[in-house]
Amino acid sequence: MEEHAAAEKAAEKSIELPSFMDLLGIDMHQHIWGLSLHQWLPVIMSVIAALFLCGISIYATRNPKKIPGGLQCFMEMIVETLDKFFRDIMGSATSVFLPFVGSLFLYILLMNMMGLIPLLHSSTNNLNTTLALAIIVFFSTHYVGFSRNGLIGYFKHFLGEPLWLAPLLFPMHIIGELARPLSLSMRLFGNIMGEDTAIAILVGLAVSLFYIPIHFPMLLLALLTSLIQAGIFAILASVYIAGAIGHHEEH
Amino acid sequence: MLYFALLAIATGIGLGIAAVGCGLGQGKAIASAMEGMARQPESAGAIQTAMIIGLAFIEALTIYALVISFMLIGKLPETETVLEVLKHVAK
Repeated sequence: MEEHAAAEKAAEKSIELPSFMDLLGIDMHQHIWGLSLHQWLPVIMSVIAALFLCGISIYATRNPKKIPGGLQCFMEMIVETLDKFFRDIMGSATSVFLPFVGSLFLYILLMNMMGLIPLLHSSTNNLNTTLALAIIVFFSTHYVGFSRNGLIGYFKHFLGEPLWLAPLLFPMHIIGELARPLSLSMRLFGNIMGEDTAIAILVGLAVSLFYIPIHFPMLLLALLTSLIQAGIFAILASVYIAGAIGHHEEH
Repeated sequence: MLYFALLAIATGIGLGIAAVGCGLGQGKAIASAMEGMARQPESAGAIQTAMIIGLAFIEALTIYALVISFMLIGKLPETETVLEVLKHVAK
């Protein structure tokens, strides 16, 4: 319980811009299912992002036309670009895994960008969100490796190439596999949190000292960071999946 | 008090040291990638993808330092508390 209170205090101490929940006039310290509303904020924001993506995809493909116009054309352009991009990395497996890595990319991009809209909040600046995404990537990578290569091929992948080096390489491969979700989640979390904190500090500075929006150049940089970090998360996920499938069906 | 002073110094300087290494590494990576792209413009796309993945790995090291530094900032006391303590010490 004490640890819980300490974590809550640390969350409140971090510098953040206000969200729309602060304007509703409700008590942010009340607990729902053991978490305070401050801790529910990333969950609510990620649900908003997911619902937005689902809604716009369903709306755009509700009655597909032969000659697409407007929204359908835009969505098809996104899907085709992603397909072309990931085909370089994953080869023929793209048609199976594009829905997974493509929606990872769009979801993370949307969540990163939400922090730039006033009164919204990036849910990726909470380690729990990014760790959840990285764990999904971890388990799907190993499931793919197991189902595509079978039990023997799956373990052979860990043993390394010269078989007599296996006692040395096997622990290294295991540690490397376990470090992947950690580095994936920490990279995304650290980048987005650093960027959002810098924006919040500059907004505070602009309000208290200068009355000019000196955080504006940081917003442009944040647009770039959001795009690159979402891209890197999806690229690394596809690289891991391509590595788990193996090299025998490349090109 | 010395403990908190060292903590405050560590939050700034630690990130600075990490950023120096990261900057050198990323500069080297980008310079080589640029050279490769200038020599073979037709393979620019592949080089760029590989470069961005490599940059992500290098940058992750600085991000670890950033996260640790934010954790250390959370352990620092408030300025008002420190001033209060200093007042008592001065008496």
